[in-house]
Amino acid sequence: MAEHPFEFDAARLFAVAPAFDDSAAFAQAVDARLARYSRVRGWALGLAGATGLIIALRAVASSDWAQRASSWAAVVGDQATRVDMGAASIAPQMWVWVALAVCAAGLGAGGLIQRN
Amino acid sequence: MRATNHLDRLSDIELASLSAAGDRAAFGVLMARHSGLVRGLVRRMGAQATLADDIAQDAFIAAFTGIGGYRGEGSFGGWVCRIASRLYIKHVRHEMRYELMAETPETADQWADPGLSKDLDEALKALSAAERLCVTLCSGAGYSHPEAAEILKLPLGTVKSHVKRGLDKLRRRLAPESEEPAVGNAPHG
Repeated sequence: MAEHPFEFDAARLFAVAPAFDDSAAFAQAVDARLARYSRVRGWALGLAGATGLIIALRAVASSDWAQRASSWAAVVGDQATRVDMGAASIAPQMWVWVALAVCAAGLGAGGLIQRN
Repeated sequence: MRATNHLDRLSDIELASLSAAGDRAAFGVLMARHSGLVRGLVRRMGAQATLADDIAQDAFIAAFTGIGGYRGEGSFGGWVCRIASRLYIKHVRHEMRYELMAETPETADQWADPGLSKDLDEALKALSAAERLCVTLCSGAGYSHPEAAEILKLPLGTVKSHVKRGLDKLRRRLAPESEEPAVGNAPHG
């Protein structure tokens, strides 16, 4: 719906793209900026992933997960009722940290892949 | 690596899908198709050539990073033009370089640009800054009058009046003298 009789003609005139001699240079400049953006983004993701991985591994290492796991195995060997109690006390802490470590490793790997 | 001539045969929407997956070669083809339109629009809004190219570059970067927002409604070039025009308005507003309510005509130097089509750009010289912005937003970037009013933070009536006066001036400048409408010279309230 045109509110002015010249509106369609003006839109048609504006739609004609002017020719620029330096179109290739312009495209190269944008592509270079996009490449830089991708590199920075990849590094940022990789750094965040690596930091998360270190934090998660430190948390796992400082926890007594190995001892708890062995006691959990012993409990499994003993009786089923104790398995439930052992799993309930061990699983929440240990598996959260392990899952966090896996996620961080995945994030770091993703960042590295994207960077390359 | 994908052959460029293969990409050349794809539609804008297909290229945008590839770009969304991170294919910069596909995005390069989109740029080759539409950069002239985007660069031209920003210059026609009143930007100097260097600034216009900076704004156009920023618009294409924003288009690449937010390409999921392109739904294929309208041309890709039109979509980037909208991004570019918003970026330019933001820049101008930040720089406080214009007073939209003023009716000061532009100087010819600001428009010296061999890359643009002469007729339209010669005609645009006759428009005030406000008229030119309103006309390029509506006729060039495809915004409706209410959208342009929102972008420019102006009353709708003011935008409509700038567009009307601007289009009248363009028509008088661009139409052959024999087709010049008698009402075109009438003052507008």
